[in-house]
Amino acid sequence: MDIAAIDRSATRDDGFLRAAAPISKLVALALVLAAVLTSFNVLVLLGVFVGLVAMGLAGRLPMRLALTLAAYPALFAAVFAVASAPDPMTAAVIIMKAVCAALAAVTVVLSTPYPYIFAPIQRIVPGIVGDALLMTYRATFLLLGKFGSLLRAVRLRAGARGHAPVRTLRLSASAMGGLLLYSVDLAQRDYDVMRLRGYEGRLRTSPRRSRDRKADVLVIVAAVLALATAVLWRLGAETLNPYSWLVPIPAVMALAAVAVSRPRKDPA
Amino acid sequence: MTETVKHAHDDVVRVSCIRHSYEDGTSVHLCGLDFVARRGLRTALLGPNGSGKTTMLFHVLGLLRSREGSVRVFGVDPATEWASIRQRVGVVLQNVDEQLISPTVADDVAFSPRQYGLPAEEVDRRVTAALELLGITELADRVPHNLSGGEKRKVALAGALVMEPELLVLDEPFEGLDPAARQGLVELIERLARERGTSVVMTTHDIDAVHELADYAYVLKPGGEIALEGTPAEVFARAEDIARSNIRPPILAELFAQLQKLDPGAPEAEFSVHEAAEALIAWKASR
Repeated sequence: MDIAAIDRSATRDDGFLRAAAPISKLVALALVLAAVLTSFNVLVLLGVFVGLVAMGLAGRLPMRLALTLAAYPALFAAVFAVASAPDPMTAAVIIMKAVCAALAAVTVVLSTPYPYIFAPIQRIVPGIVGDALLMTYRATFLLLGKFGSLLRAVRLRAGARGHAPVRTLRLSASAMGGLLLYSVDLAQRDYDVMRLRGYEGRLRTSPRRSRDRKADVLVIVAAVLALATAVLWRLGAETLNPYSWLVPIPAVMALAAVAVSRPRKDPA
Repeated sequence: MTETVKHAHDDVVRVSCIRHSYEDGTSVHLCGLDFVARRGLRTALLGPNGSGKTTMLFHVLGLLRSREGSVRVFGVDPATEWASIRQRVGVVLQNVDEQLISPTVADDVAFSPRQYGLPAEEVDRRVTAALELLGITELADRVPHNLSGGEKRKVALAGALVMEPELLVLDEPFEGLDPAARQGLVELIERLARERGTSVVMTTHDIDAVHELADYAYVLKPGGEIALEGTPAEVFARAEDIARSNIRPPILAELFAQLQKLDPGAPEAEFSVHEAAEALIAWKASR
């Protein structure tokens, strides 16, 4: 995973998502996460997912990258779902919850330089939690990059062989152990560098206001709609469930409209 | 140490006989001579791989705490009182990739002044000045990860210089630079020391360039003993001690040493190509 691609997307000037104020996007993210936590209806979650994709496309985010990033938690959720879900529908709900939450977070990450994401968060959480969130964010992407290099090295050095799966597994496990040790070292170095450069547990940024108030309104309204739908379907499940298929339709229509109207070239 | 150098400047950094143990059980004992960096001087730390150069820098930066001996930077222990001196210290570490932490170059250079709570106008002024000083104004909106190695090093240096530090700590500052960029950096460091009185502490493997990039040098032996100190000319005049430290002397020092072996009347070593050529021409004329 290329952290430069994330920074590049976050610092571009185009698209309404990048024009919205960071605080609006964080509020919208909280609302969407609340919707995802509230809903146990796979079609409602599908509507949220499609809506997020439509927003990302309309906001000129690199959607291939966004969906790839959102797929990582889906893999872990799938393992959990297979191990614990009593039926396929519950498994689908577990996976959709992970994907929607991740995609909402990725949408914010790809449209907002990370200091502007963490500065407001660190104002409201204890210092150690703020530190942990910030360092985890940075270390995650650096480690994903390192993990890619590690896999390449294992392959180049003949560590991965299709006809010797046990040996491949053993080597990969040992390489992962090395990566774990590296991650501890990396986290320490990263923290040291930030401390040397003046960081003391609270990231300070210059004010970053909205460049387009309509963008803020759109982001918040969409998130409120997602939460309202999730709450409505949760409270009135028995009555509304037969009509769940209606929920994704507006999102799909929005996606179709965006897909038709946007320029052909993918910004990724 | 020449008397002028010894007495005309205050101590900014003093490291006395420290010991550091690594996780694998090995240790370095940075002892022997005291390591002293003085105000307005460029001090180079030379030594073979694993001799403890970076470890010493990390002690100077308060990232490591010594079990014995003492480290003083601006008169205080950096491991316990880093907060009181950090605005006076600029740092460029060996791996600049890990040092560039913001999404754009301008944001990265602005990182320290923002953390120190300077007003936005002052931050902008300092960032502009630092980018201009390094000649990288056109990179301001670029993503640091996409830059070349040399450009990243310049951005890291701009980030270190943005607070106009009194002490600049550089770990292998010339690694990855092409000859033109390297020469530009040598001149910049020289200018900072002469015009602003910035003290510079740097580690380097660039032995051939030590005479032009440092006013004073220390040599570490394997295991960490601080074996030699002096001006570059004084240090490199001690060819046998240098060899014992597993350091190859500058090529010009080797040339003049060889000449003196073959002909005792050969001139004393010169360390710049220009001065060496003049010395050889004068020697030739005198024969």
